[in-house]
Amino acid sequence: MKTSSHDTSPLERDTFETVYRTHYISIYHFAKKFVRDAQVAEDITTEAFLKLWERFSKFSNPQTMKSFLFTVAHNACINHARGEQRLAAREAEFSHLYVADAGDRLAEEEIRGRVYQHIYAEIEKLPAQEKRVFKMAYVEGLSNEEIAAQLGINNQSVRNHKARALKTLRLSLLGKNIFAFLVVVFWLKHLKS
Amino acid sequence: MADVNRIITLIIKNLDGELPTSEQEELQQWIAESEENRAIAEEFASDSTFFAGIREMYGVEARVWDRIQDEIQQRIEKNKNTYPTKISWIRWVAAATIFGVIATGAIFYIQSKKQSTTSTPVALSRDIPAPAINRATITLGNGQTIFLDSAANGEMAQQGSVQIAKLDDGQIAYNAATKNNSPQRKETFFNTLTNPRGSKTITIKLSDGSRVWLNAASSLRYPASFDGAERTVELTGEGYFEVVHNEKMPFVVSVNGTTIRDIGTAFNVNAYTEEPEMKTTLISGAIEVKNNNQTKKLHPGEQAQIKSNGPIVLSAAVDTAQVMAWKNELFYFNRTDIQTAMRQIARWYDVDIFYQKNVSGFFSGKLGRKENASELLRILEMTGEVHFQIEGKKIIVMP
Repeated sequence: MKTSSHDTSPLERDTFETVYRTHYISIYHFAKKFVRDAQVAEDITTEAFLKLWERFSKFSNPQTMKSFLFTVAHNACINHARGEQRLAAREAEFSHLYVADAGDRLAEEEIRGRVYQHIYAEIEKLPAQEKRVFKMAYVEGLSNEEIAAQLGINNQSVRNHKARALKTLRLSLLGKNIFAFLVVVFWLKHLKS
Repeated sequence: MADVNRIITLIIKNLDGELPTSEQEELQQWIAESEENRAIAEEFASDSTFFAGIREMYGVEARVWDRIQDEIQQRIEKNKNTYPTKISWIRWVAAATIFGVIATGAIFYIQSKKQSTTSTPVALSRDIPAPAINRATITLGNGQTIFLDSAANGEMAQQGSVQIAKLDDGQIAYNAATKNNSPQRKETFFNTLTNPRGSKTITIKLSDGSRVWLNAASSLRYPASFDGAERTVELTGEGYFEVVHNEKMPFVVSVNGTTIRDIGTAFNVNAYTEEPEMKTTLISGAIEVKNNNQTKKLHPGEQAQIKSNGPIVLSAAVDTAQVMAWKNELFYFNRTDIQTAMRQIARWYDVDIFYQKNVSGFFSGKLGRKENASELLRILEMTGEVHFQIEGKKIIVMP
């Protein structure tokens, strides 16, 4: 069978997934700031990674991949904005808008996305079961009972996992001397509910 | 412009609220530089926005990754010369918190992995698949009807000097002839594009280049070519318009006495007669909505609502992603009541809905429109608020 793109190895797929998990949130926030529409930003993020996947074997350097992703996303943002402006038929007006904002926005989006990148990395480092319970509780908003039922463990174990996850996170965050207090307090507040 | 890495360090350090005074000043200085900077700093300083950001982060992670996987899978399948219709469910995020408040009624969260749940399965005799084809028809000026799905690609018909073609992607295009051979006498052919219940969205490019997406259970009446002072089309049901602006010949959508006049624009009109109100949402550009001698001008993101021919009510900053969900092949509920949700389901799956006793409940979340009806109903059942039974082309809703 002939494939339109390259043949991919399991190693390549794993690498691609790692690249995705490392950069998706900064690409997304970058695009979202530009297009001001979460759905479109998700579309653009999807498109950027698919383009990376198409020529994945040609990349060897993570830094080049990152630049490539931002370039593709940036172009997609511009195309999107043009599409919307096209109907207004005021090309000149629009190009002014673009030139004035592009540089600043690039830098700003780097900030929001990269802070989330830090937080994401810390959560993902939690031990498997703690991470699972943590996400079910705080990202998906499930109750202790629902988590217990789905994982086939008892309520007390759920509570233990939650407490341990928070403790681990707090230690790792304190250890890194970043955003220690406020976040953990907020998570602890949620633990009670 | 301050160094980006430095600012990131300051924002992260500021999360614990114990930034030394000297660094506070540095951060404040950066915040004062622009409104955007302020917004970013405030997002991370406030519990609620920050926590919503974390939920958003995981929602995006799952949805985008699913779409990438689906797309890659589809490309592989395509190479085997098969065309799968499978699309994974858009994963449900913790909808309540993203949308703000935990409202009354049932807000449900769907597990990203289809793990076993405690809910009972939808009782069904025979499942109802999502529309796989487009069953739209075009009625020409002479009364002749073209069935679009069975029509071959390429030119389908001629209306005066306008050629009607079906493109490879299923889109319909009206191509106006070149100016030099236009005849002296002008005859206007009115055509009607009808998209029935249980039919996929159809896209049409009118002779002026404007494009219209037509939802299931909707129709559009338009002249094959436009002349006169205005480009008037008539809509029933729901359509999304991307209008090519022409100041000398405005584009007007006429819906049951209400008119929507384009000033260079993309907008969505939901005018199903079974819905309690007609909703016109401006996505970009500008439009004027006119009803009973009352005229309102809309800005992007605004929605004009008209209830049973009453006054026009403007609603600012509506969720346009929700309005446009149908065009993006999604059901998108945001604290949507069961009756409204079921009306959308009825139009899409071409089914009739029956209620057993009084059923109430509110639903939030997004899901793909390509799944079988039973899959959608199974997910709604997970709220514990409603149960369903499928009988032929009927869906019975039970408490």
